[in-house]
Amino acid sequence: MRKSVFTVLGHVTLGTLILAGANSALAADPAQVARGKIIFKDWCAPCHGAGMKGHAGTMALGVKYHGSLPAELSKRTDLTPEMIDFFLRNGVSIMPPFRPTEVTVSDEKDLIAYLTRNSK
Amino acid sequence: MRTPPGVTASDFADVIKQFESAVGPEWVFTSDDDLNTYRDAYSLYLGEAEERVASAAVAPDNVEQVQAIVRIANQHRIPLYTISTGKNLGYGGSAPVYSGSVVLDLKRMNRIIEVNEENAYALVEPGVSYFDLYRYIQEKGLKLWIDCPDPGWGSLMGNALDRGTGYTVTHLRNHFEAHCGMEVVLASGELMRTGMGALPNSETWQQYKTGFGPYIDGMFSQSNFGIVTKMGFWLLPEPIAYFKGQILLSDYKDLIPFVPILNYLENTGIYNGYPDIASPLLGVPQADGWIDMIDGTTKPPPPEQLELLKNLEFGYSPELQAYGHKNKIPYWKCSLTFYGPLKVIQAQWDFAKERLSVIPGVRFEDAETVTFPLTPAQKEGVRLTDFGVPSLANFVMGARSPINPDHPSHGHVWFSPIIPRTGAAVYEANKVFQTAAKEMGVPLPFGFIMPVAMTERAFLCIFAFSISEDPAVNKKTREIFSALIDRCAAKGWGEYRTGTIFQGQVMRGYSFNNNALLHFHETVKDAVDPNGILSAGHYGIWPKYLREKKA
Repeated sequence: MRKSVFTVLGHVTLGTLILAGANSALAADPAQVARGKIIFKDWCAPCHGAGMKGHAGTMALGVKYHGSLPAELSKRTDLTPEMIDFFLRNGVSIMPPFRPTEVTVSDEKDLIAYLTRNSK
Repeated sequence: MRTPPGVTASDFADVIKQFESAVGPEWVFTSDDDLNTYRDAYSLYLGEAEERVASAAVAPDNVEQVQAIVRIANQHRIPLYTISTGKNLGYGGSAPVYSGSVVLDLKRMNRIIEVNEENAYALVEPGVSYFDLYRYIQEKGLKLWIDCPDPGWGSLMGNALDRGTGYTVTHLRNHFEAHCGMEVVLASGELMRTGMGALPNSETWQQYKTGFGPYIDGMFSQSNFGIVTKMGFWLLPEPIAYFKGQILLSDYKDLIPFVPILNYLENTGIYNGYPDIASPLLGVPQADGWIDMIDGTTKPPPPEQLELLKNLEFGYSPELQAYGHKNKIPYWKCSLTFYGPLKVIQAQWDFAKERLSVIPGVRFEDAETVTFPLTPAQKEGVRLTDFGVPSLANFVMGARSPINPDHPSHGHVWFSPIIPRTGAAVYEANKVFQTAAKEMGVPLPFGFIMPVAMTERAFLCIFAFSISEDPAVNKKTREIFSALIDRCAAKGWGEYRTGTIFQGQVMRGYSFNNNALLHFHETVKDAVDPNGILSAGHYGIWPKYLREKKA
């Protein structure tokens, strides 16, 4: 069975290594955020883009949270590096995991910087 | 560290070191976390002992590194399993057929080597996705379209080698047939080019398919005889316009006279796009209606119609047909699509309507006219794959949605037999599918499985079974899937492609003259890959050392 989100978040995984870079990303290095935005556009936006129509991820999150959280990932302010790493490398529902040859370790750091740029 | 079957940990550790030397240590993956990403995300053995998993993964950047890996694998008899982008979800994804194989991940080989606008072709490496090539074409401002399948993140090469299909013009929808020229690393490590690519200094590798002598490209599709490292594809020069016309048929039996006319119109080139058959009366949408249905834009049928849908025999009842007549809801609806100049299209559509008018009660609608290039606003409102634009829109299927808010699936597997392109075969196929489903207590997604006219001479019936977190549900799904394969084979209907766990069963069904075809595949396998290192078991072809064990 795939790892549950709780199991993975409690473990020391590859994600932990990434967090060091990601924590500093919370300081929002503009160049890293800009690179992360491109990674998001290329790899995430086809499902997590703007609008529920034809975007499986945005639709699923919109239905799940009923407006209590933004349906679009790029508008969330509650994402943490651990959450992003977990879903990227494990997938969820119809979303498959992404291999390190698709979204590299370096790409992931940039992606985390972008998706956590507004985190509170 | 995981190990391939029959390989000791110390021997495998030595092989891993050699792989690292060949491609760089950062591109050899052995940790559980990394290998977790190589699992088949849509496996019917999800989380069970039988789930097919990799022992390691190695990701070369170029053909020389592929050759080095193959030579190492040959020396140590290490089973490799090749993937391109690993995104043929529903057919196996990035996991090997033979558990414990080392996945040879070609995603890093993502160079677009040439795109020729004048002659409308591209030459690409395995890791190039439809999205990648589309972005390249847009950045360069080229007036070219790609025929795309549903998964835009898929590899052009991988999809074609798995014989996937798309949605634009007839001559490009069959992606394997739309390829022109290959480069292949053989099991020995030797590099070969096919077609005109075998002729040094040729400028026609992507222009003339067959070269001289036996045409062998087909041997590298749905097989394990080599590793394709480059492949050419024919593209579509951007057409002037697109038109969609709808044909509305009122009676259940209308498919009998309709399909031969549909075939004539396609095989004489009157329409050149994808014909899309659906049933408004049975609640089965056309390809551009799925998303609206899933996201709740399309309202469900009225209660009276829903009630009638509960009591059908293979999609029919006289009461439902009478309801359709009374409310002008067609039993069948088929769109014809045309790409070309509007004046030509108008004449073609007029001719099609004239031919189809022999069917009593047939009606027609002009549905959609689009001229190009598409504006950003148009891209928001059209079905992108009809216009050569890659997308993941169809992945809404199975996701948490307004019509399925509580039980999103974990993916799906496709059941996809080829049947004759006749109305009679469509009815007969539905009898077979629905009889099996009723006997085994597994509901089908619809009360009638529509024929898909992806290719011009046969129908494809294609429908999905969802993956569950519950192993008991997945076991039941495996049972009906397997039963359907056998029942279809008994009727002479074989799958055009299938998930890895069923490939052996499907291949054994192609059994003319004591499986002479499979025996030929095995003869070739033994000759070109004597150590059996390449993608063991892919499409039911096992190397000699595993053949008896896996039969």
